[in-house]
Amino acid sequence: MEGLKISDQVYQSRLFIGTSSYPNFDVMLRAIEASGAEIVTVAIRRVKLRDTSGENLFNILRERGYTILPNTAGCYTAKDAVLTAELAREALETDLIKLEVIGDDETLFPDVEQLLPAAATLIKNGFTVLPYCNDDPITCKKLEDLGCAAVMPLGAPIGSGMGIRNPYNIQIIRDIISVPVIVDAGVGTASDVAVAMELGCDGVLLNTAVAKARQPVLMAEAMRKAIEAGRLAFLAGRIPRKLYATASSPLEGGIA
Amino acid sequence: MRKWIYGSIRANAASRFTHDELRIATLMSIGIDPLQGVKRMNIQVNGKSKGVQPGLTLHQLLLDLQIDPSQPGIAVALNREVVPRKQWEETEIQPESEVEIIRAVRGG
Repeated sequence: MEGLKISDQVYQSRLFIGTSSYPNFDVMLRAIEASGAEIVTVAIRRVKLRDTSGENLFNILRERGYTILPNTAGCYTAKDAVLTAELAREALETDLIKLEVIGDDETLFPDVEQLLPAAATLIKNGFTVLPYCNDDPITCKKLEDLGCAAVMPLGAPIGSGMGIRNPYNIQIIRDIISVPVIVDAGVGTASDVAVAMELGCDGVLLNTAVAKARQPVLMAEAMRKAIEAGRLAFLAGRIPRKLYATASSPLEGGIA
Repeated sequence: MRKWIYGSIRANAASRFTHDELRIATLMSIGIDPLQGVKRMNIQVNGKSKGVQPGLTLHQLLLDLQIDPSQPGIAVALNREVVPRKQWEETEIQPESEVEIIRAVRGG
């Protein structure tokens, strides 16, 4: 399968995976490995004073050779998202940022009014911006025009497992956007990933569907295969849908 | 044993310094001006109020908080501006400053 190019980097895997909500750290590492993902997401949070856990997520992921994609999850304003991104760049030594600016904590839908200026500022400051956005073609076009390295429309609300709720919008987005389109959020199981890829998306970012599966490592493997199957099906080109049958066996020469 | 040590320090000190001189020297050695008393300034660290010694640098603050400043994966903002790691030792915190210290955690 051909690589995925984001900015000037080429990745062999088209799956992006999150590090949240696994039963434990060991399962997380094994699931990430099974998923084949090269890019893993992390959040940025205040250091807990007198933290004795000793866990240095950054070191562990870096040692294993993953590309770390910090997010601005939890930010409700462009101002907070920009500062979080600046801190992430300093802490994790990367220009990559998954830009999230959330409108409310029940739907976790993006706030476009805040998202666009945050993206503009970060691009001006030299970031490679991957914005989490609504499945709205106009927003995606504006983000591309600002200079985002990809657009990441949601399939469904974060953690909902509802799949691709508006495949037609995703298809329009794919048609009008030239930078990579990554479906971010909403995946529930492997077929959702395959649908996104069959629509022509360049990749999928997921977390909960793997982390909260009964067997996360097994689900991670399923996601890897769904990415591949979906991509291959897209490249192969599906047949048009028809209401009535077309026989696949020869009609002539039967004994009837 | 302890009694003997204290006794001997006191006896030794008494022979050379007055009690007040010793007290002043001790206070100055830990950064307190004896004429001003214990001077503290208030700052915000990760959203919580904290009294610290004036002139404290970001590097010293991290040590005070038992955060290893040399560990990779952390970053500091002072009054909403990121301060690069190499400037932590020379950056003094002003009164009423807001300090944010962050790291990567598991997220999606």
